[in-house]
Order: sequence, then C-alpha cells, then structure tokens
Amino acid sequence: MSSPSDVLVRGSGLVKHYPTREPGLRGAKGAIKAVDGVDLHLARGECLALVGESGCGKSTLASLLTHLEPPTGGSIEVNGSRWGKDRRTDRQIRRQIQIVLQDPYSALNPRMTIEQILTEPLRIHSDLVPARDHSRRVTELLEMVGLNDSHRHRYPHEFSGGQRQRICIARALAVTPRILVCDEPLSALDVSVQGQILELFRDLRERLGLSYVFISHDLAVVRSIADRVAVMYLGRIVEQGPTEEIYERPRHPYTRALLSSAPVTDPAVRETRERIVLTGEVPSPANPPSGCAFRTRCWLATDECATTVPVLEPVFQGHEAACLLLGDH
Amino acid sequence: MTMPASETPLLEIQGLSVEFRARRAAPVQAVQDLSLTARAGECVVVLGESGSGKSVTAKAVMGLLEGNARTTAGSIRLDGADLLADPAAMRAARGRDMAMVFQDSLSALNPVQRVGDQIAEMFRVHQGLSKAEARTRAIELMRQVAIPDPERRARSYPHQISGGMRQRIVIAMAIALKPRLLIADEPTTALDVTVQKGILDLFRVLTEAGAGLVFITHDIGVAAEIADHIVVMYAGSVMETGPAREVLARPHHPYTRALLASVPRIERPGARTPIPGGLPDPADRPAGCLFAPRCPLATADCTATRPELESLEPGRAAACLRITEVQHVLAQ
Repeated sequence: MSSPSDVLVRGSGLVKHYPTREPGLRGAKGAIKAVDGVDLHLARGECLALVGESGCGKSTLASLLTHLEPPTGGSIEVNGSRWGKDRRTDRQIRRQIQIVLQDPYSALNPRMTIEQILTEPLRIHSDLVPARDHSRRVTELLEMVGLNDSHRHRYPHEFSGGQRQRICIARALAVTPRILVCDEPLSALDVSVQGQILELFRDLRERLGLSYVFISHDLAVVRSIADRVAVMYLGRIVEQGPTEEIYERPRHPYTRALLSSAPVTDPAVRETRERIVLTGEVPSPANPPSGCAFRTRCWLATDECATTVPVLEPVFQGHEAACLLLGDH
Repeated sequence: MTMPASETPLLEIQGLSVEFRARRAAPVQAVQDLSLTARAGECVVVLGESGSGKSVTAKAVMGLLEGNARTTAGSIRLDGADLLADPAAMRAARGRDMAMVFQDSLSALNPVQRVGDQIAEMFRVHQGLSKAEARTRAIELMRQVAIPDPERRARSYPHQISGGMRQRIVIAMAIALKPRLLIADEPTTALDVTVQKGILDLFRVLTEAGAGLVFITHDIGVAAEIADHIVVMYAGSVMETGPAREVLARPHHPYTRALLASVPRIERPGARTPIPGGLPDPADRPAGCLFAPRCPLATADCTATRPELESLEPGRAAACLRITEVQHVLAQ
C-alpha cells in the first residue's frame, strides 16, 4: 500500500453534474450525472488507466483532474494542494499536472509555429525559465519528444498526426509537470504510429519520473502501459486494482463483459476465453437506474441490485469491486 | 445439399489501379495493381492503415468513386460480369447484388426521415411494395439485426438512437434486398468494444447465411475476429494475402510482421516493438518497395525495385524481394 506522502493526486467524492432542462418553457430541471461519486488516487511514478465505454465519465474526470472544469462536489488535491483554493495555488498546481488530448489536429493553433506553441506556456509561467533561455528550452523539448530542432519554425499542418501528438506532449512538458493526464492520446493516430507514441510515453516516464492518468478505450493498450486500472460505468468506478489482477481475475460482471468483448488476435486464446454478450444499452446518465447502475444489463442481477447501491469493497490486495454479488461468483 | 466449389468467385478484382487527379500536380496513385477474390459465405478482410487505399478499393467496387478519381487499370467482376466495363451492370448490381455499410452511420442515414421509413423505402423503390407491406418487412428486418422493440424503434429519427443501433439500421438497409456481396468499410470503428462485438457477430451470421463479405479495417484484433482471408495493404499496394489464421500466426511480409509486433495485444501483455518512421507521402512514394524506408531488412535492391506479389504456397502470396531470406529466418 502507498503511504500518504506517495500519493500525488487524490480525488475525494468527485461529482460533476451538468444541468439540463426538459424541452419547453417550464421544463423540469434535471442533470446529466457525468461523474457521480468517484474517489481515486495516483501514486508517484504510477500509471493509472481509466477505462469504460463512451459516456462513462472518463473524459469528464480528466477535465476535473486538470481543473478545466470545477467539480459540482468533492475535491482534488495535487501534491498536497487543493485545486480551486485560490488563484496562486491553482497556478502552482497547473505546472504540476498537464493534459494531452485525443485529437492533435485540433489541439494545436494552426497559425502558430512550433516554437510559438512551445514558448507560450513558458511566457505564461514566466518565472519558470528566464526569457533568454526559452529558445534553448524549445530545443530541449523537441529533443525530448523525438523531433528535430529544425522543425521549430514550421506550422502544425506540416506535420503528420504522430508528429503533432509529439508536439502536444512537448507543450504539456514545457512547464515540467509531474503528472500527465492523457485523454485517448492514441485514438486519432495510425496503427503503426500508435506504437511509437506509446513508446515515447514509456520513455518519458523513465527519464522524467512522470506519473500518468491514462484514459483509453483500447484495453490492449491499457494492459501494456498501466500499473493500475479503474473501470468506470455511468459515472462511477465499479472496479479497480493492479492491471494484471484486473485482466486475469476481473470480479465485477461489467469488467468481465468488457474484457470479453475486446478483440483477440490469437485464435487459441479467442476460442477458450469467456464470451459474454451484453444486451441492452448504457442507460442515460441523466436518469441512471436505481441501485446498481449496471443491473439493467447484468445477467446476474437480483432484486436486491435494484434497491441497494453497491460500494467498492476490497477483494484482494489493492483490488476493489462494487458488486453486491461478489461472494456468489 | 452442398454446391461444388464454383468456378467463378462472387467477386474477383484483378489488377485494379485507381488514381486521383490533382491540380497542377501529378496524379496520386491511391491503389496500385490490387487483386482480390471474395467467395460466398466467406469474409475477406482488407487490413491497412489510413492512406493504404482500402476505402478507395471499396468505393471502386461499388462504383462510388469521387469525381476526381478514376480506375486506370484492372477489372472488377461480380459473378463474372465486368462492372467497370459496363456501367449499366454496375447500376443494376448496386443495392440489389451488392451493398455497402459505411463507417459513419449518422451521415449514412437521412436525418429527417424515420429509420423505419428509410428501410421500408428499399422495398418500395426496388420491389414496388405497398406502404404497409414495406413497413412490415422493415420491422422484420430490424428484428433480424437484433434491434429490440423494432415497432417502436422504427418511428425514431437517427439522432434519437445510439451509434450501435444506427449501425444496425444501416446494416438492415444494406441486407434488405438480400445482396450476395456486402462491403463494410470500418463499420465498427466508431463503436465501443461491447457494441462492436455484437455487430461483428451479426456480420458472422450474415456470412454463415451465404453472403460474401469484404470487410475493411485497420484493427488487427477485429480482423482476427472476423476474417477468413486477409489482404494486407500498405500505401496503395497489397503486401501480403492468405488465409487469416496463417497470415496472423506466420506473417511473411516484413510489414505484416512489424505491424503484428508493434500493436499491443490484450492476450499478450508487455512492451511491443514500434515501427520506426511514418507512411510515405502519397504524392511522393518510393520507387522501390513502398515499405523499404521503414523495413529492417531493406537493401539497395529494395529501394530500386518494386516487388511483385508472388505466390509462396497455395493461397498465400507476399510482395517482398527478400522473401526467401525472411522465410529462412522464420524457419530457424
């Protein structure tokens, strides 16, 4: 178990509701419960993956962790300081936690050169690197992500998707953060380029001692990079634990279904593994089912699942699952 | 009753080349010398990254190439009839004998028409059925593609249903007239794995019922799940073809091998070996082997000579000058 000083990020009771209104002038008020009660922690040097289907709240959680949006409830501490305490604290935290987004085509300003893109964070956090050293820092950043220094005067459109994602990573690294939150950083890239970027994340982690919150729908990628996995369903973490533990011994029915749906290349493995086909659809986060949110698609659900909300309970060292039927299967 | 192996395959593409005209520049070769055979009841997967020419191939078969694209060589035969030589045959076959499922179901459907009516339209236009008859058939079809509560769903507009449901509607429209050939271009790419699984199962049911399927994807895992045969494309050309199990278990071409070694696999955790470099610029492709700039085995010969697809053993072929050395290394 990690001692409190090893915890770099801690989110407690995180809630994010987006208000909605039914159609019509006097429509009833409601809320999309994108994140609905999440506790999580990230240890120093760790890679924590968030997985789940679209709409499960993993990207919302990423924007809460980086304070791009304030939570509706709960709090996030980064290295002992709380997000949203005051502007000065926020500024200090922002240097420690940065985000890499999915689409490197829309994440870069097309009218700025690479040098301008990489210098902008240094100008905003002006006490970090003296202005006369900005140019040297750009060289360093480009080298760090495997780009050539001669690229600095070019514009984003002159680069391939993989190179653009490298630029986005370099920009995130400009303020020397300790944590990168990566929201589907490979999804927009070509298959043969994904491997290179994954390798870059591995390399940076070793060289800079970075910690990652890695969001991905690709369960194969997650297994290859994450130390720990948190599985989300409808705004909550339903299971979390060490990666191999989750992949080898998933306990929550949803995790089992999710893992069994991932395509497998090896025919021998494919023929022997558990096959679960989920019926029905993910319910709307504006109107989640009572009790266990997964019960409407769960083949094991009982009457109790409709009335009692399951909480995460330890099943093995560091492995927790939120299911009322843990003892039964 | 089993039919004897038919002489003419369902779909036979031979030596297909497609180029895009460019303004004030040389035309871009999107597909070069592609050959492919699809039989009834079988799934051929065209596996490739973006820019490999896989979607252009699909559009060429359907006769749906954009205005600035044209086929410069080759033939596309459906049941022996050359579709490229005979535009009338192409028009007659499209929709009735062959149909296409696109990646983006939201843009493939009419946003202001109820999904049930869109399916029913197939029967009204092609078979002249009455409104009521067409509607009944549409609902039957929706049930066949496993849409729950089809009577209610039929009245939904595309934006009101989930991505997985929409893709099922698109598939329902494609199979409405019982085409013998289905072409699916990345039909599950926008979907979650749990939904993808259901759609792949549906395609499997359709091939088992006798349809020929050409399935285009960049995802090796998806290819492994559905393919009987695999055609590996890279930068507009075929690198390797063969039975799916064999290509995936014993890839011959260095590109296929590098791709399989680079992609993380859920069943095999641990670090992978990335492929260095990037895809060649379509307007400025290497003169020799297209993969040579990224290939660990490339020699001076490889950068000078474009290798032809050569048969290695029954059913398998690869385009690589150094294939004997590769096989030698593999044998060890």
